[in-house]
Amino acid sequence: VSRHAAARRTALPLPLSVTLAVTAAAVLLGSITGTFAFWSDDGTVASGSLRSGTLDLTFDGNLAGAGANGGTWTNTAFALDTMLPGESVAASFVLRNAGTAGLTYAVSGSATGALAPGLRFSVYAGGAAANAGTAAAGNRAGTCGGAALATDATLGGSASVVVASRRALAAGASETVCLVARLDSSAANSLQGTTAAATLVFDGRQVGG
Amino acid sequence: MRVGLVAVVIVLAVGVLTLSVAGSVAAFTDAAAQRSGPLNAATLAAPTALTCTNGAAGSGTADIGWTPTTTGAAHRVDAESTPGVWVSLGTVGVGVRKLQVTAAMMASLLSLGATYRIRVVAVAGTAWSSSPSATTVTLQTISLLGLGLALACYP
Repeated sequence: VSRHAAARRTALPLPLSVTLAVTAAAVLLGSITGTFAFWSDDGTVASGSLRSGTLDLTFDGNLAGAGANGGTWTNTAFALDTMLPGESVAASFVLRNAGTAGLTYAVSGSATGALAPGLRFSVYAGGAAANAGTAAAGNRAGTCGGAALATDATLGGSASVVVASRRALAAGASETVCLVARLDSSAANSLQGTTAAATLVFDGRQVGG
Repeated sequence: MRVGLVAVVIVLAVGVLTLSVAGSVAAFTDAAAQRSGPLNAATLAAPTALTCTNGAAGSGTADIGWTPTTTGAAHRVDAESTPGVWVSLGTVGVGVRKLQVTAAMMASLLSLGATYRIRVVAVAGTAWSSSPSATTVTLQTISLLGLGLALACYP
């Protein structure tokens, strides 16, 4: 019995060692497997050029460029001296959208000076200005071709709407705009010798804006 | 019932979110302004240097002339019927510098031997006028054989 018991004692460690060996092998294999490289492919998508559009209203080429946005141009042709009741002056210019995005525009205006209440302003699109008459005859008359956008508007010190219906102007497109300033035929006698200046703002907004 | 309420709340929330997002979208603008040059009204100055010249011999007329200092204006010639009351004799167009006054033009005023002051006013449009001329000339009614009352410059 003691011999058999001794044999059983010596035989027991064998499966344990095998287990340990197998485990060690597995661990070893596992670590070896962990060092295997994985093939991969990283794809990069680069954007094209992203550039904002521009709106750039110009008057006869004036106020061009982003730096002139919101600027003011003095139209020296839109002036008249020694006006008498009924006399008028017209001046036309090319309104251009020199930007890269389409826009729509409306027009508002204001006027300063004691003569302002006696003046009437009209705006036309698509026609040029023509001026006739002489100061000596007191019959100077300015007229515009094209379609009337506003007729005989009175401007005060605060900006008021002159052309409310917005007009489209595609990128690069232009149209001739003509203005008329007329001293009303029934202007008050007290307006003699007075002066005024008007400012018209062409408010361009991006299409859909 | 509760599911319906939740759905309504969700729809409202989405709507408000959509509106707030839409309201925050910027729009590119360019407000280009154009200023006029000076627009100046004329000043009508009173005609000066009034003259009275007798017409052709025997015509019984007189020519009233003046020097305008304002271009573009017509001129009205007045006669003083009674002190301070002026009656228009006629208006001449722009560029005309004299008016021939006849007895017929003063028919409502004439009385033999009377004298009348004459003045000239510049007018434009429907409302503008100058101050009356600072100087006046005087007409006298005379009896002209065969023509009845006529006019002559006085003195």
